[in-house]
Amino acid sequence: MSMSNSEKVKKFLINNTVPILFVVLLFFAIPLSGFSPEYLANEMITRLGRNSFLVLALLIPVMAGMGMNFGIVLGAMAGEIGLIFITDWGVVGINGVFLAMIISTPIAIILGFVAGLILNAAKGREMVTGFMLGFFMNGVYQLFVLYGMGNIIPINNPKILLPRGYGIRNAIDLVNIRQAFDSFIKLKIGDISIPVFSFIIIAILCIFIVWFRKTKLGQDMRAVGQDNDIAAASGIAVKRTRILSIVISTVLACYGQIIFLQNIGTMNTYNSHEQVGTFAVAAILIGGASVAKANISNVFIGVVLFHMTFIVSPRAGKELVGQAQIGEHFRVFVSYAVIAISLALYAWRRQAAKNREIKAVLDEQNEAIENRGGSQ
Amino acid sequence: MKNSIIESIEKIGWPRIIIGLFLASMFVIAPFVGVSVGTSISDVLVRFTFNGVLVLSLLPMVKSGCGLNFGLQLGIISGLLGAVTSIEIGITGFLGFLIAIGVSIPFAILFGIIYGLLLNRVKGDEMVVATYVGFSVVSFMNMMWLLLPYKSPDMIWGYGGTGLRTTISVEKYWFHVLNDFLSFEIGGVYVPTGGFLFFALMCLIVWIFFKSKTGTAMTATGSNPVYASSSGVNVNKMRLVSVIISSIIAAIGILVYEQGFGFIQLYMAPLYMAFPAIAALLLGGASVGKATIANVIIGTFLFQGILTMTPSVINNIIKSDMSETIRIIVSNGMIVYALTRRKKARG
Amino acid sequence: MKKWIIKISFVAVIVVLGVLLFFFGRQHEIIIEYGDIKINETEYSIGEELYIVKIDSEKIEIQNKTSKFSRSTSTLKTSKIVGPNHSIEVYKNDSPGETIRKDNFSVEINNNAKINLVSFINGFDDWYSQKKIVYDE
Repeated sequence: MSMSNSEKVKKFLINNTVPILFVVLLFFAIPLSGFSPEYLANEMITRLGRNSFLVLALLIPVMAGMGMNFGIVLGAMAGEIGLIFITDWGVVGINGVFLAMIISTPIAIILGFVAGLILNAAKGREMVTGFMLGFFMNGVYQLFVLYGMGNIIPINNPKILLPRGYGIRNAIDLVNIRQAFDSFIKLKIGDISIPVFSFIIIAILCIFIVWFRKTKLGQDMRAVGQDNDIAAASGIAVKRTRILSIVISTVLACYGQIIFLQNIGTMNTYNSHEQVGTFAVAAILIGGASVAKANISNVFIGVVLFHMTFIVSPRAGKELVGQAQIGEHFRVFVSYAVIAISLALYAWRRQAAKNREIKAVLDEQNEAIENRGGSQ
Repeated sequence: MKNSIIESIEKIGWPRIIIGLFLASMFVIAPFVGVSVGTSISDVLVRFTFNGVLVLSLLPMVKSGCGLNFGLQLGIISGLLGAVTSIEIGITGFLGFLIAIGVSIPFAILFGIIYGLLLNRVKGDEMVVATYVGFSVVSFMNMMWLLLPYKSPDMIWGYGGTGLRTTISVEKYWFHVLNDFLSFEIGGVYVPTGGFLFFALMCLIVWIFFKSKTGTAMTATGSNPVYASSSGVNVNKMRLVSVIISSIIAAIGILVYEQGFGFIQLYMAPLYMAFPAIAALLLGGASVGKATIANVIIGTFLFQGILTMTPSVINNIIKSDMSETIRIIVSNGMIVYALTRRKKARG
Repeated sequence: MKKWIIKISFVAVIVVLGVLLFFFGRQHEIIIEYGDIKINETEYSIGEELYIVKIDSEKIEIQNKTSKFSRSTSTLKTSKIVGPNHSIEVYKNDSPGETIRKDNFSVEINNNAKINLVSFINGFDDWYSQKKIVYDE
């Protein structure tokens, strides 16, 4: 089973095509952009603290064979509802962040459960269904926040209510909890400030995921991810396991969005969650994950590469063609295209494998027929 | 008796009945809240002619088994290229419109071939791949609209700017060329005859196509690919042809939309255009694997009816604009519903 | 059964934690009033000196407007406090060591706090009052 070195290199290159491409891209784009290394390091650390948790939320559904969970948008909405409440009540600082998490957890569990049921009904189409579900729930969220809040659900703070008396404003200033997590434990090395507490929470989540893989439920999920039928035959409640994976992912996404927004410090009530799914999925795929396989290292590599591209491309675009706008369009293009290409490559490989399998079976049959023909 | 009612309800489908009743109630309420029924009906008819062809464009791909065309944007982009090129040439009136169609068709064929070849390699995952291919193409074209060497002062940014504008008026060129053809007013209702004739013509072409040998082979491919291939049909080729046809019709569809709407919308505008069209088709009774021209007509009518009536009626009742929210819930809910139905329908 | 008890008590703990976070994390407005007051025919004032009011660890500077061109007649200053229990300490700016008076106060969950500084530094008891949080439209 020993592989020669050149084979190993080849395999490594094939398995990591996407991250390598991005490293090469950045190799040219970073010098072009002219940003200082300190600035980039600072940005990277901020963005790792801000985004990693959301991207980590994608891991568990992949384990259960449900692909990229575009439905993390639902979790993000739950988190935002929690933030609206604590802003209304005037609960501030780190207490506010934790309270927002507690309030939004049941909402996220319910949403995740519903999403799980729907994705079970749409087996084999989980990704596109999850994606559309995000859009659909966005409408329900609007109904709830824009028409229900201040009407049916008591909201009193005029700073977040629309002047007409009900409905939440377009933008909410989260000044009361701004960077409550990040600055809870302060650390500064040179010019680079490090959000220690956010990193501690992310580390805890990583440990949780590693531990979770080894639990009974985690093992079940991996079995379900491998093969539904075999898992069912060995007594695993397949549907329940799949629902649970989505519930966990939704709850994690909800916390992820809260961490994200406390760092940003303002919330666009109706837009902040829109691109959460796309950006998280793009990041993890750039980190070398596939629809069927993703691990923690993919998350961090992905966040670094994706956000580095995000930071440098407008400036690089300006240097290259004289228009910063081109660079901005380019980074949007990159996030969509990388998802399209990764999903297509995965489906393509799977189809090719399936075709080979069918061909092998057919060949075997033909051979058997020929042999029989020969013996008669 | 009771069973037969339930049966017929199930045959028509719950979503259609709910939406149909909702729409009917809107028309009933309308006069009481001060909304003119005549104007409303005209609006629905006009919007029907804008959007019908776009919805129709989804049909070939559903029939050939490629599923709902979430990558509709490819066809739309071809249409947009045709539109801006036609304006650049500067010929007005119906001829200008025809030139736009003529220019867009080669692009649609080219994009269709690439897109179709890709979809043939990702069978079973067409929809999610198509969604992101559509998004990628739209965002790629964002750069192109800035860089392509169009010069017409009606289209580029004013002084010192480069690239095309986000919205370009077609008023001076081919605004309403179809809709105003033979149009008339009857009892306060404006009927855009030309728009209907064009839509009917497109439907007829599609209908004839599906009666042809290629068309029947395509339908066979969609309903049972294994059987089709064993009876000598080249499944991949049929799928490819359906994608190309879908793209061409979509390109024409967006041009029809623009001549009615009055503006060419570039950049991010086409990003989510696939979803309302898909929702309309599903609302008309189609499923992920099955669709007819009747579905297209009923669906477009219901969907545009809802879009027209809810803002005017609901706004008058509760004094706030809920139409956008209702549109999001109805159209995306319809798509989610259809996606969850597929496996059950096959048993 | 045992599983259920664990589950329910877990949820209960979370709910209690939520309530505690609410109580200890709620932000209240604190108004410091320093206008002249009259008690038993005697006028009291903070004069023209600069006082430092230290609430918990936040220092607020308070001084009557001395300039005759200043048109503002406001004798209120507002700040924010978080949670129920707080301390207040007042000293003059030029003598940071010598505390004039030090005390504690607590604010109920739905209230804002109001402190009358003149009353406070002159040793009266009625320096502190609370008012329900209302949002002005």
